[in-house]
This record gives sequence, C-alpha cells and structure tokens, in this order.
Amino acid sequence: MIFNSFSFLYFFPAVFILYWFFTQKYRKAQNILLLVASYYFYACWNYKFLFLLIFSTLLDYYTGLQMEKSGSIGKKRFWFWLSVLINLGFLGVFKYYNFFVSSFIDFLALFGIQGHAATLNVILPVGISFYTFHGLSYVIDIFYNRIKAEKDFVDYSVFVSFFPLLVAGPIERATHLLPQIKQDRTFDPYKAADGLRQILWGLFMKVVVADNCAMVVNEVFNHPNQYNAGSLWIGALFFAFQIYGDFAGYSNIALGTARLLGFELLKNFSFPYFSRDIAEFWRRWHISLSSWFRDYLYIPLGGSKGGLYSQLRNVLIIFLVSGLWHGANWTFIIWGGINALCFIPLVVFKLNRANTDTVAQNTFLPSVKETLQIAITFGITVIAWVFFRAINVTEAIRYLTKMFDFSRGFKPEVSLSSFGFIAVLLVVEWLHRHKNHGFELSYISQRWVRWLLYLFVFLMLLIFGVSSDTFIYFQF
Amino acid sequence: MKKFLIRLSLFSCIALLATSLVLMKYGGYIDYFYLKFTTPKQHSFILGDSRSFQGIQPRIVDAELKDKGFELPMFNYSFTITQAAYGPAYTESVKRKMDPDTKNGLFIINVNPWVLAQREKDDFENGIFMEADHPPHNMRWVNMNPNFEYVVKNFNYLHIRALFKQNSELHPDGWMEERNLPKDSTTFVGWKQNQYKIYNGFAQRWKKCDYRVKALKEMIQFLEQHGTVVLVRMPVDEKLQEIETNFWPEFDTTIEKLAKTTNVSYFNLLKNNKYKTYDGNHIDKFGGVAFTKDLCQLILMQKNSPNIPHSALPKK
Repeated sequence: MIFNSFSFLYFFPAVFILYWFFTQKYRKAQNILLLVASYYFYACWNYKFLFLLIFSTLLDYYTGLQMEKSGSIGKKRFWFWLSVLINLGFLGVFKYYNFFVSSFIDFLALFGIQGHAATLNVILPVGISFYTFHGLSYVIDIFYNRIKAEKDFVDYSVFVSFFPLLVAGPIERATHLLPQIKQDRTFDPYKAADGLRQILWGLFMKVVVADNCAMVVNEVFNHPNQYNAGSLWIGALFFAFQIYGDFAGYSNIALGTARLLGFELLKNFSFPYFSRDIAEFWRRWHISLSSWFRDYLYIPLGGSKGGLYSQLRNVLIIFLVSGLWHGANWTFIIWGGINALCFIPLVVFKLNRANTDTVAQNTFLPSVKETLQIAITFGITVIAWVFFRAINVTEAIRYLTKMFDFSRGFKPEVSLSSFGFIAVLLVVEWLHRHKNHGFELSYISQRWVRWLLYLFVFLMLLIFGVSSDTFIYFQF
Repeated sequence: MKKFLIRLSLFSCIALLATSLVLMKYGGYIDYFYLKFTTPKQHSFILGDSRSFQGIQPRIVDAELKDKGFELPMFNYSFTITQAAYGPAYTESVKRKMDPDTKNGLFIINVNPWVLAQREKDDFENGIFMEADHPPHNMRWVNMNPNFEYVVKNFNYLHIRALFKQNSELHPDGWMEERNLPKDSTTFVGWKQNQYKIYNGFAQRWKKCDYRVKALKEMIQFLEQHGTVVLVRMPVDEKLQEIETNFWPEFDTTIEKLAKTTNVSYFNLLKNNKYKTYDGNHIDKFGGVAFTKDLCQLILMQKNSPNIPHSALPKK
C-alpha cells in the first residue's frame, strides 16, 4: 500500500475513525490499533517480510532490556554488539550481499584471479534500512545511557513500525517518538488541518512534479545515446526535481498523516534547493538521515574534535557510508564521494556553518550573491544526482560526457511541460521558506483564499497527476 | 473535532463536485472508455476490440438501419485488445449493459484471432483471465453518471490533461473518434511498423484456443434471445492479415462452423481492404463511414434473404 493509492484512501480514514472515536479513551488500545494498522500496511506489500520486521523488533526490544539488566559492562557490551551485528547482518544479507560478492570478484579480476561465487536472488524488504536504523538508534542510546529500555512491547513496536514512517522514514529517534507514544494524545484541529495541507502538498510534489518529471527522466536516462546535450541536461535537471518531489513529497505525507493522529515526526526536508552551499544543502536534505549519521557515526568517530585531518576523514567516511546506505552500487558511493569533495573545502576554510539561517531572511528576493550561490550549489547537486540515477558507473560517466558534448546540438528534444510544475513548486516553496513546510497557509486569515488554494492544488492533482505505484526511496 | 470534520466533509464535497464536473463535461476526451459506463442500458451493441471500437460507427448504423425492425440506437461496446477478449467476463458485462426487455436488438460481433486467443496469463482451468482486472470486466455499475466506480477502479486509464488537446473523443454512442491522424507518410509508416511489432509479439506470446471460441458461442446464444447476431471480420492491411493467418490458419473455418451451429451470419471482410486505415490496423473515421454503410447493406441483404448463405452475398 502506498500513500498515493485508493487503498490508502480507504485505509487511513478507517484507522482515523477507530483511533479517535473508538479507542481515544484508552491509549493502550490506540497503540494496539496503530500496531495492527502498521503491520497490515506493511503486509500489503509482502506479508512474508512482516516476520522479518517483527523479528527485528523483538531482537532490539529484548537486547535493550538485557542491556539495562546487565550488571557488568561486559554483559551490556555483549547484548549491544549482538543486536548491532544481527541488525547489520540482515541489512548485509538482504541489501549488500550481492554487491560485496561481485565487487570482491571484480577486485580479484584486477590481479588476474578468476573468482566464482554464487549471488543470491534476494528481494530487498521494503523499508529495511529505515526500520533497522530505528532499532539501531534505540540500542545505541540505551548503551550510552541516553534512554531507558522500553518495557512495553506494544509501545516499542509502534515506535519501530509506525506506518507513516515505516517504509521510507523519516528515521525517528526513541528519544523523540517513544515519549509521544507513551503519552495521551488529544486531537488538535489546527495541527490536523495543517497535517492535511502537508499531505496535499506532498501529493502534489509526488504525483504532479516527481511523476511527470519521471517520464522524461526515464526516457533520457534509458536512451542517452539518442539525445543531445540539451536533452541530457533536462533529464538530469528533472531528476533533481523528481527525487526531491518523490522523497520530500513522501515525507510531507508521512508527517501530515502522523499529525492527524496526534504525532509530530522529525522534519526531513527544509527547502534544500534554496541552499547556498553543500553544507547547508545537507542540513536541509534528508535531515533525519544526516543527523542520524552525525550522532551515531560522525561524533563517535571523533567528529570535529581532534585535528583537521581526522575531521576531514570523518566527513569523508560519513558521506561514503551515507552513499552506501542508499544502495548497493558504486554509483551511490561515488555520489557520496562527490558531495564529500564539495563539503571538505567548506570544512577546511571553516565555512561549513556560514549559512545556517534561511536564505533572503529579511527580503522577498535573494541578493545577486545568494542567487549565484544557490545556482552553483544546485548545479553541483544536479551533476552528482547523475551518479545516483545511473544504473552503473560506466553509464553515469557516459551520460555526463554526453551532457558536455555540445556538438550534437543543445535544443532539447524532450517535453518541457514539467517546467510548469517545477515553477509552481519553487514559487510556493520560496514563499514559505521560513515555514515548517511548503504549504503552511495558516497565516492566511481569509478562509476562502485558503480553500481556493487547496482547490487549485487538488485540481492540479486531478488533471496533471500521474499514477505510479512506488516511491524511489522504498528501494533503500 | 466536530468542526474539523464538518469542514473536511465540506471541502471533500467541493472536490467531488469539481471532479464530477470535469468528468461530465470532458468524460469523452479524458478516457477511452469512461462514457461507456455512464450511458443508460442499451438494446443493440457493437462488440469487439479497437478495430470495431474505431471502425464501426453507431450513428451510421442508426441512419442506415432506421425502421428496419431493429431496436436502435446502436451502442459501441467495443474496447481495445487489452480488454477485449471473448470470455465469461465480457458476456457478463454485456448482460449488465443490456436492457433486459430487448427483443429485436442487433449485435455486431467483431471477430479475429486475437480476441479469441489464449493470452500468456490466462489460466482458464483456474478461472484466471488476463482481462479480468480491466474495464468492462471489473465494473459492477455500467450505467451511472458520474461513475466513480470507474474512477476508483480504473484511475490509470484516466488521462485528464487530454481535455486540453482533445486528440480523441469517445462519443456518447460508444464510438471512438481518433482525431490525431498521421499527417505525413513517414508517421503513417512508423505507426504501421509499430502495429506489426505489437501483433508479432502477440503471435509469439499467445495461443489459439477453443475455450474462448466456446465462450463466444455462449455469448451468441445469449444475444440471440434478444435479437439478431452477426459476426464480422474487419479488414486490415496485408501484412497484418499475414500475421493473423500464420497465427491461426484455420480461423475462418472455425468461425464459419460456429456461425453455422449458432445460425448466425458471418461476414468475412478481412481481405482486399479498400477502407483507409491510419496504421494498417484501424480504419480511420472517414473510412469508417464507408465501412459501416457497407456492413449495414450486408446485414440488410442477409435479413431480407435469410436463406441465402452469406458467402453468396456480394463481396464488398
């Protein structure tokens, strides 16, 4: 089941009604309902992998309790590593086994050694990277005594498998979500209305922007030889908006859905394409993952403490691991590497926190300098996204080479109609860049104006929406 | 909560109203089939795939066969090759769409090997039909306006932005008018080649089968209770004829036998296509007028001289 499907349109209102009208007085019942709904939501994709999710939940729940009970640091460490290794083991088998095996064979081939190993025909369980990271953050926090182990299995299970964030995040923290699960929820009509606005905007980003761009992107990336440089630039540019619309759209729907149920999830995107440098971009793009790596990898590695060399090493590790998290392919690692290379000079010259405020803070339009900064940062991300989208490194390099081969002409040979949708997206988001999300219209006092805007977006969905049955980040 | 729900319901009603207006005003432009399920129950039908969907025009039938004893108007309940396959599902849908009081209807059934073939995902023994998830087979309500069942079940078919270009129009009588005809010979050749590719693909993946022929027989037997049934094999260009003949060489014999056992007429007009197609496969809207008129003449001749075997009728 995906958010932009009719099945979700039946599923969610049913959950909403049961949640607020039949179980409201009993938090325990509400949480059981959320758990059942979440498992049903997941099982709609593939019920067999539901057992993996339940196993992962049981593992972290049990090891968390054992860690807390442990009298000695040795025992605690044992349970901690058991959980970490099994979690990473699952991720390794389901997501990375074939990649590591084939990369090893390629490596041997460099020395003229013929390697033979069986690769597995593994189906990647949807959302495995997300729920594994939920569980990992939980056990790490217990290990470092930041939180107490959760004793209520239902509450803990809801934390891991809460359906709005189950398959594509945001990656939540026990410190943030568990307390919300453990307290009574009251219906806040203002938050709920804003949640609906966020869902509406998320749907626009997904089915209008992302899925329209996808049609051109798929065509151009699948047949780069048939197109000139201009078309390839359009393909790369549209992919930048496809992935943004797809993933930020999903996050908006997830956050809006959670708000309708009385939860505030971690913000995942904050208008990243208005960033003035790569450091700012990474503070605004997939925030829950960036902050996860910051807290659970970068800081334990030493973070910015120590010398410049160790800081740069840590930055490089973070970006490479972040790339690998996205998928078992060298393209993702190179994508991470490119971002690291653009980030490192900012660290060296201590400019990585130069832009922590919102662009054009007190003005309507950005200054010339800001405009140039935004354009350069966006240009870098567009080039880097080519590696993210290409099926392998050779194809990515071929695509990039052709992007700069102007001998075959530059006049685009593909449909440019998606520019209209991108323009709507950019204008609306620019107007709301100081807000919590791109369609936070609560500041408009006249209801009829707000409703006209809702209707406009609804009609855009109806007329220009493209139906697709997946989100890009499901594969991660 | 109460206020929130009232406002949400109000906005939902506005959104539903806007959707209904779009569907009612532009239904014929935004979907190939939507209007087939918004019109009232019918007495006379044209059944089959895209050849009859575009090539047999009900308004021409109405004009040619007016006052000839048939319960008109004619309704084109043909679909495209993905949906159109004779089987229990199509028969059930026709039953739903037909006015049960029909006594003298006219039923023109377009036959060719593709609508009677076993498709790669068909598993007749286990009741699995490849067309089952497509309209009209997945439709419970076939005469409701606006039809939200169609929107929900077949949202992928809707292409609402087409209302701006209006390249094709589904008329309320069920006929699909294709307006985006090839403007030059290169496009025409390209489209033709594409059709060859598609049908060669079918020939490789599909199999001739008895099951669907039997299902067609059952459909004919049902329709005969409500009027006159005629089978027609529509003309296509030579290369497509060749693909069809290689795929199912004894197809005509099979259909002739079926026509004889069910006592209905079979007009085999496959060869010597004199009607203009826009891709070698589909007679265009201009050729369709002539073809429909000629077909009506054949139907009339057969009606007036029921004892003359159809093979003795003048070839068109």
